[in-house]
Amino acid sequence: MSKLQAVIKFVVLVALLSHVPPAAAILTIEITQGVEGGLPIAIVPFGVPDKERLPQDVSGVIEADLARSGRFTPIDRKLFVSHPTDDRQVVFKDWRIVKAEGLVIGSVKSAGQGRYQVEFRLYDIYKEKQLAGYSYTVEGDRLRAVAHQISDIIYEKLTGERGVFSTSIAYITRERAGKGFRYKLQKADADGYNPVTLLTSSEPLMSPAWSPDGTRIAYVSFEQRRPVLYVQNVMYGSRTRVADFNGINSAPAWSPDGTRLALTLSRDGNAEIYVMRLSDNSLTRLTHDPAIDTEPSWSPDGKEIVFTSDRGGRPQIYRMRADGSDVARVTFEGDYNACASYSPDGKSLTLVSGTQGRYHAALLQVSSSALQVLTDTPLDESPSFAPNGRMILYATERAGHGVLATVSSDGRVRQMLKFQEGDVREPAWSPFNRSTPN
Amino acid sequence: MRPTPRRRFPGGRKAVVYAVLVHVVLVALVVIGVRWQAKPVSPTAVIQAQAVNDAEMQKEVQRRKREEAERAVAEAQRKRDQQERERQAAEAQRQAEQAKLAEQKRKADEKRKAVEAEQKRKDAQRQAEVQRKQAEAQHKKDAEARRQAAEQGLKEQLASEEKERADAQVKAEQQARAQSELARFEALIRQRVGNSWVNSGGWTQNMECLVHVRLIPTGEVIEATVVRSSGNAAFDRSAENAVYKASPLPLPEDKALFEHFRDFNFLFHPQERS
Repeated sequence: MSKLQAVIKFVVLVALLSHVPPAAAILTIEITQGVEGGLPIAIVPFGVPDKERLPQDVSGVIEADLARSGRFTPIDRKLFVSHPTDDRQVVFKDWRIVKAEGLVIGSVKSAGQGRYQVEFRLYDIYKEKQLAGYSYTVEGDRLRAVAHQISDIIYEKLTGERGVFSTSIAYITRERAGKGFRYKLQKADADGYNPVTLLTSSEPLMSPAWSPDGTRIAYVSFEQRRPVLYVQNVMYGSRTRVADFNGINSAPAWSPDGTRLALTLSRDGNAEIYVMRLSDNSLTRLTHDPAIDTEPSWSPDGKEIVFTSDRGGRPQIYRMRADGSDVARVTFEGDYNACASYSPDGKSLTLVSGTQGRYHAALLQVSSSALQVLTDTPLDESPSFAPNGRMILYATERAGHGVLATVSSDGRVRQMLKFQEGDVREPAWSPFNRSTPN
Repeated sequence: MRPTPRRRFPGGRKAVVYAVLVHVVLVALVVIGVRWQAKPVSPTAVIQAQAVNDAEMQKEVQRRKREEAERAVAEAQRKRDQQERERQAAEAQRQAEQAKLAEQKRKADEKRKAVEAEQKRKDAQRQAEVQRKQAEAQHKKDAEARRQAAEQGLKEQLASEEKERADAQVKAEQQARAQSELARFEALIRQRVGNSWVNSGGWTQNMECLVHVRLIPTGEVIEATVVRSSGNAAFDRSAENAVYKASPLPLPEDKALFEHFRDFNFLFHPQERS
């Protein structure tokens, strides 16, 4: 119990004991503990005209989005007493019974020529008022995008924070192709749907990294039988070879202002971390250690860089100023800590933490160095934060295949993303979209 | 003392009486004396008459007569003197008597006075004694009364203190009961509202909002309104929702205790679980 809490309790006690009329000293009960969980929300299946087959179950996408975030617990539809699809049909009492904190209703109607009109409303059940209401008219292939936008609106209204459902993820897939493999750099919606291939190669692709504005992705390609670093425009597909030095060119990381890349080069004989200015490709070497230094990541304020080094014998996370000075070890728990990246608020790092051959996505509090393992899957890799810091995307293995998964950053809710075939690895969560709703 | 006008001439009347008596006696004596001269016969006179001749005898008789007369006169004189002396003596005696009487009277007076004085003194003393006793009695009575009053007062005070103590104890017990009931229901309410307050991971320890709540006696929440915002609308709404979702709140059956919960506040202030 904190001092403040104790003081408040004392004040309450004194107020009670002094027996003054309630009007003078009104009873105040302090609530400091809630229950951890998702906000219970009722998402009524959107109304659809009879016999109409829609390309997407919009309300289903919304429900899945909100559930995956960990911030919401959609209420089982079987418990619904009524199924309103427009404003006049809403009876708030029905939703108080199921203890919902939010109600989402809506409808999808054909607008002709393959277009659809989507309407939705979000209600505060206890104040009995509408919190949000929008109408969209879109092509059939945009219905998922609309559903994600609606999810973002609901998320922001009810949590006070920006949703990430309309953002994207980038990742590498590997499929069998004849004697060898086919590697793809893809991007998809944050839920893994609508994949778009940005690059295909018969040689390995690695380490995709989004530019801060979300328009470019840096990655490593072995298409020349050795690792070379490229930056590719996401929308147009045009790309630039930015690092093609002797030896290793790998692990690109964008500076927060997007003007520089931190990367790992072995051109001087050993894997060291450098910073390249993108305007003139000039290089600054930051590390000088006979050990391997790699996987740099910038702090959100651009003042520090964390990286992985085995200078202590085993791979661990170190921190240094962006000019390479003041190197200090960050992780002390576990045999192996690698692949760290900063949360958007700079207060924590997500990384892969290994003990006794098991590698889990984990969260490290920068201020306290407290390490929290977030998953129970044994071979996690490449964790990265969602742009709102509330979820972490990582790769893991299931049935011998690489898959992607998300975990809420409190470790409470984990969910695999659906992919059709092959291995999926090295995911990276995009920044917020430039053009976001409201 | 009784005022007496003749007081300064005591026995005046008696003196006059005595004087009159004295004169009467004197006149009587003179009268008796004269008769006495003609009458008395002495044995000696008979003897002399035998020895003298006539003339001579006459002469003798004459002389004797004279002598007799003279003697008579002398006798008378002597008697008178005697009487005078006697009178004087009587007078003196009388006076002495009188003086004695006066003395006696004086003494008697004195004695009487003394007695009276004594009596008075005694009376006074007795009176004083009586008074003293009365005073003492009064004093005693007063003291007793005071003592009793004091005792009574003390008793009353004790009784009143006892009553106060008892009242206070009853009140304290009532208050303690009320207090423990209040505390019990406060805890129940806290638990119930806490259990309906969903923290999906977004609340931080610097968030705080005050929610004013109105209940009806069934415990149903008829209003839950943020009166001091956290600045975060979603947090504020979660707090209001937590209260509504917890409705009806557990309430004491005692109407007086319910009054504490008719109108009250919740302070939502997330803390790390300890």
